[in-house]
This record gives sequence, C-alpha cells and structure tokens, in this order.
Amino acid sequence: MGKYLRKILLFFLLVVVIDCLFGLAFQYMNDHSKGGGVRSRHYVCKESKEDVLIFGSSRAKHHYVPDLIEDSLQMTCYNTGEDGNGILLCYGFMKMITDRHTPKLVIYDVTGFDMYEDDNMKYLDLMKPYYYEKGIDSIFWSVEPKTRVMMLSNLYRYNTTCLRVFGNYLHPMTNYPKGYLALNGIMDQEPIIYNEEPGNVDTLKIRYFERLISLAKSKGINLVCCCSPSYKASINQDYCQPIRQLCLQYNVPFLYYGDDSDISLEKSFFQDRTHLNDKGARLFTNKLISWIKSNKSII
Amino acid sequence: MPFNSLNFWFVFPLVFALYWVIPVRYNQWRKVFLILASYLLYMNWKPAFAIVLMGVTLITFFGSLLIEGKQPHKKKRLAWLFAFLALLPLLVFKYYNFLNDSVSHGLAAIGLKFSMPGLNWAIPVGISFFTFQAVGYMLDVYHGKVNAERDILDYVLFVSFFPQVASGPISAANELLPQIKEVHHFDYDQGRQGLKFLLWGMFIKLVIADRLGLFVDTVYANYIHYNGTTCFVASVFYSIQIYCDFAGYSLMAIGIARTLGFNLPDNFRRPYFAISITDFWRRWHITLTRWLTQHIYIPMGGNRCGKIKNYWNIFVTFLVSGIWHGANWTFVIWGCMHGFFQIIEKAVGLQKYEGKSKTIRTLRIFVTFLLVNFAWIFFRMPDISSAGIVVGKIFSDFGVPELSGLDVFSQIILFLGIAILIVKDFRVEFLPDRFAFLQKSFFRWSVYVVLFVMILTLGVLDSGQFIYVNF
Repeated sequence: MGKYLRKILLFFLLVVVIDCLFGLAFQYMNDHSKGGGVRSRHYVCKESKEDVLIFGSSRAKHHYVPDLIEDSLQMTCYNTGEDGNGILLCYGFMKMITDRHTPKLVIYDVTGFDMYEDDNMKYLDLMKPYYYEKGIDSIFWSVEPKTRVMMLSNLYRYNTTCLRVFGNYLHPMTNYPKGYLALNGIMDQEPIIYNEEPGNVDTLKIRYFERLISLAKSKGINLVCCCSPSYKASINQDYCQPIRQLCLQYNVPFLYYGDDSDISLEKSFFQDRTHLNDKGARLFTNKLISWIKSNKSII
Repeated sequence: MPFNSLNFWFVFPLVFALYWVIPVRYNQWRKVFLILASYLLYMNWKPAFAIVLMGVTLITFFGSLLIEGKQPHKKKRLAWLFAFLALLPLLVFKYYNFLNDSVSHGLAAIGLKFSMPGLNWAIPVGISFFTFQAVGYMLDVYHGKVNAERDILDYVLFVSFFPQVASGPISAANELLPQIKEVHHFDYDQGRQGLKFLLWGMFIKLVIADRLGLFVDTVYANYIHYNGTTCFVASVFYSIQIYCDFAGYSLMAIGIARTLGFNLPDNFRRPYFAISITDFWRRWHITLTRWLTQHIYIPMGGNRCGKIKNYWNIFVTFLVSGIWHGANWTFVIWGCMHGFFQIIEKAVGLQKYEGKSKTIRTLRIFVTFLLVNFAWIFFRMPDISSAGIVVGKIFSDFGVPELSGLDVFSQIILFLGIAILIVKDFRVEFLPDRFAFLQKSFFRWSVYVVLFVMILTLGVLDSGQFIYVNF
C-alpha cells in the first residue's frame, strides 16, 4: 500500500508541476495574444478606454457598428459582445472595466441569456482567465461554490479555451475591429418560427442585472437597455419582460426594436432569424443613433 | 453520485482510505462500511430512491430463500411471483406512463376515450441495472446455478455496491458474491490496474463523449435546419459518443471496484471493430447481453430448436433489450432492428467470418458500423417521426457538413480525442503484442500524465450525466 500511495503522490506532484508551468505559459499567451477573440477580450478587460461600450451576446456583437456610432456621436466606441453569453459575463467585464475607466454610455443588448434559467457555468468559461481579478471570483462562487476548488488548478482556468489561446497567440485567424463582427450572409429561406415558451426566470441572473444597473449608477454611467430586431418578432412574444420591468423600476431606458417594422419584416437584413447581417446592423445602428441624438441627456 | 462529479472525487479517496484502514479481522465491518457508503452515495441522487433499492433487494433475498429446495412446480410458481414482485417497481416507474399513453392513443385511434392518470415521479437511478442483477441472482437460484445467499449483509452489498449500482456492469451472483465473502488484502497490481481503467474511462467520457455531445445535441435538437450530410456526421459522432460515455462509465466502475479489491466483469470489447451484428453484441454491453442470453434466449429454447423458432427467440430477446433501454417506441424499434439484422445474418450465414482476407474483414467492420450507426438514430431521437425525418434527410438532402458551433480549435480537440481512441482500440484489437516499448515506465507515466492533463485542459468538466444512468 505504501508503494501505491507513494506513486499516486508522485503522479499528482508531476501534475501539479505541469499545471503550474502550463498555467503560467497560457496566462502569458492570453495576455500577449495577437488577435482573435482572446485579444479582443483581453483588450476589453484590461485596456479599453472607449466612451461608448456595447454589451451583450452574439446579437450585440453582430448588430451594433462602432464606426457608425463613433462618426455620429463623435465618441469612441467598442463592442464587447460575446457569442452565447449574457449578464454573468457582461457584469464581470463591466466590473473589470469600471475599476480603471468610466465609460460615458453603456448600451446593453438584452437576450434570454440575461434572464432565463440554463447552465450558468457556460457563461463563466471566457472569464476563467480573469478569475483572480478584483471582484470576479465571487461571480464564480455564486454560480458554483465548487469553483473555489476547481480554480486552484491553473490548467482548469484554460479548460477548453487553451487551444484557442495558443492559436490566437501564435497565428490569429480572425480580427474584430472594435469588437464588431459583420455577418455577410442573407437569409434565403423562410425560417421556421417556433413559439417557444420562455423558461423560468433565473433569480441569479436578475440579481446580477440589478448589480450592473447599480454599478452603472454609482459610477455615473448612462445605461441604455435595448432589444435589437429579430425576424418577424412580435411584441406579444416579448421575452424581455423581466428586464423591462427591472429597467422601469430603476429608471433605465429600455428600447424595444424587436419588431421594428422597417427591419424585422425584411429577410434581406438578416443572416438568420435572430442575427442581422451587416446591412441590417447598419440600419439598426443608425436608428439607435437617432434615438440617442434625440435624447441628448444620456450622452 | 456520478463519477464525473467533483463531489465524488472528494468522497472516493475517503471511502478508499477508510475501507483499507479497517483491519482484515473486522471484515464484517468492512462490508457494513461499503454498504453504508453505497447507500449514502446512491441517496445522493434522491434519498427516496433507496427505498426502491432496498425493496428489490429484500424481495429477491427472501424470494430466493423460499424458492430454494422447493418442489419443481411450487418452485416455478414462487419464482414467477417473486420475479414479478421484484420487477414491479421497474414496470411501474419506467413503463406505466408509456403503457398508459400507448393504450390511450390506441383507443383514441378507434374513437374511444380512456386514460388513466399519469405518474409524475422521477425514475430511480439505475433501476434497470440493479433490478436485473437481483432478478438474475434469483433466477440463478431457481435454476440451481447458485445456492440462495443466507447472509443478508453480503446480499445487500451485492445489489447496492456503489461502483456498479447506477449503470452496471450487471454482475452475476457467482462472480461477485464469492468476492464479497472473501477477505481482501490490498494488491498493488490490482490497484494499479484499477487506476489505469479509471483514467482511461475518465478520458473517453470527458474528453471525447461529452465534447461530441455538444455537437450532437446541437444538431439533433435542430435537425430540421441541417442538411442530411450534417445529420449523418452527427449520427456517427453519436455512435462514438454513446460508446465513450457508456464504456467510460463501465471502465470507471471497474477501476473503482479494483482499487477496493473487487473484479467486476468487462462490459465492452472494442465493439466498433465487430465484423457482424452478432459479433457486435459479443462486444457491446456484454453483461446485459449475457443476462438476456441466460434468462430470456436460452429458456425460450436458444438455438437448440428449429430455424424459425430460433429466429423468433433472437427477435424476442432483442425486443426485450430494446424495451429494457427505455419506455419509448424508438427503443422498441432499435431493439427490433438489431434482432432483425441478426436473423438476416443467421439466415444468410454472415454472423461469422473465419477467413483471413483483410479486405473482407475491413468491409464487414465498415458495414456493421453503418448498420449499428443507423439503428442508433432511432435510439437517440425523442420519437419515431423525428428519427424518420433524420433518416430521410441523410438519404436525400446532401450537402457540405456544417460543423456549426465548432470553431477550428474545438474541431481539433474533437478529432484529437477520436484519433487517440481509434489508435488505442486499434492497437489492442489488431496489434496486441506490438509496441512493447510502451510498457516501459517512462512511456507509461508519460501517457498517464498526458491523459490527465488532457482531461484538465480539454475535458468537459462542468457537464452532468452519463447517458446510461437514465436507463
């Protein structure tokens, strides 16, 4: 038994050494990546200094054109949207950004990821490399207390993303100018539209949305929540209700463009049912800019 | 508690340490400790499930005692009675709603309205596995293959032993009960073998099965939006996923048991290198196949009867196999397909191949895989019509496969895992005596460390269940 336990101990010592070395290497590559999503995220968390920031999921990333906002409002702008993500990641981004810089305006694109129950661990994946940043660890603990232990492993912080970090450090294949990623396809078929019932409201996500609003208010940041267009969306199927109520309660402007008649009925503005292509995104961004200009108090 | 949960990895070293710390002379206390650990881990799913586990245990324990030594006609009646009682929880929890819905729909088709209230209960984890293990023991007593167990502690541990209670392997009484009675001394080689199984099981589950599952779930949940080629790729990935998921679980169960000094039976033997469907079932879920052979196929007459009767026996055995997997017509069809394929093989004489042609062997492996893969579509889809649409798309809607949602890095991870699996299984299957240098300490340790690091970096560590736990 002694030999057995000694060998197990030796095995884990080896793993710990590798964990430390690889962890340091991945951290270096993450902090010095040359492009792609890794660079974009690092910029958002550690370097961004723009006046206007866009937050949200893929719908944010593909729907808000920073160049148009910069030209029209004469303010710098960056799009921090991340595919398949929501409030848990966005609150973490906001926390890291506001610790060193105060943007003037934050536009938050609201989706179901911000309010309904699902596997919350997936929203933390991209934030794992920033676990030790101030105020970030508690987001992990509130989602899954066991992350206190799991995060002791440096490699776990790069679980799943390690190859991406490596690739973006060596030879990035994509770049997102100011965080925006234009979609160039056109939806050529009439999509099947399911009338899916929204799930249960996730109280944790709502709590983090409230925290985001409080953080913005405490720093004097103007926050605007927005629901961007979806193809043939109907106000009757408005899934944003929980966030809409929250905005009402905290006096935050909530703009609903989900069923905007100029955009949401026209297939040529969409790549798929929920994502605008570049043409649609530009039209939508211009509409949003018009609203901002007509409400000068928020800038 | 699933083996891939972090909680289990806090609890297991404790169970291991306490088990071996109890001195050999207190062997009875070791058993009590294992029973407690098994029940506590099982109750972690849902405490109420333990009542069903204990119920099935007691029914088969006392049933076997009553059956043993009775006159044949009385013995038969008692065996039927206790088998029915032991199977009753399984029938109620798993099949009541299915039967109710099927009867209601059947009657509605002829214009009659009738339905019983549905049950909204969770199905106890592993009910199909521990029920079959317990009923198998009772039938072995009935057939006189083993004596009825008189030590209730040994028998409780036999049914509830934590490595296997949730998803097998389904042990036979003459395999596990003698080991439970034995006094175990720690064996270094057995313990080392156990950790190797555990590591490989975790690797194929977390790095291959769960990662493939992300793609398969996306495509099958929205199959209507994908072309047939993508659906076919998803079906191949599902075939690999279910193998890695279930074989991974079995290996982990076997590995954990070995570290405690128990040898559980093998459940998989590289099934996708099978040269016929008959051969596939000698390699896939071996312990279930053995159970069905011993308790369904052989009692019905097996192959010691006329051809037609033999074909019927095969068909019924695989129908039961399908129904065992779940209360859904998709499983029934899956079971029937396997039965049908084997009948054809037997009728044409394709179930064996003893020739040496590598080309024919490769071709047979390929065709067998395609047939198995085709049947898995019915196994995976929620209903027959969805399965039909997917099959229809595969044969009509050709196009470029869309590995949607998978960026280039995820694809590299995915194919790297599959490549490692294929290389490993290929070497064990076809070149078992080659590459002896891999047995040297340096290579062995390198492989262990690399696999563990891959689990940490590339494994889906935050996922939940094993597929077969649902059965």
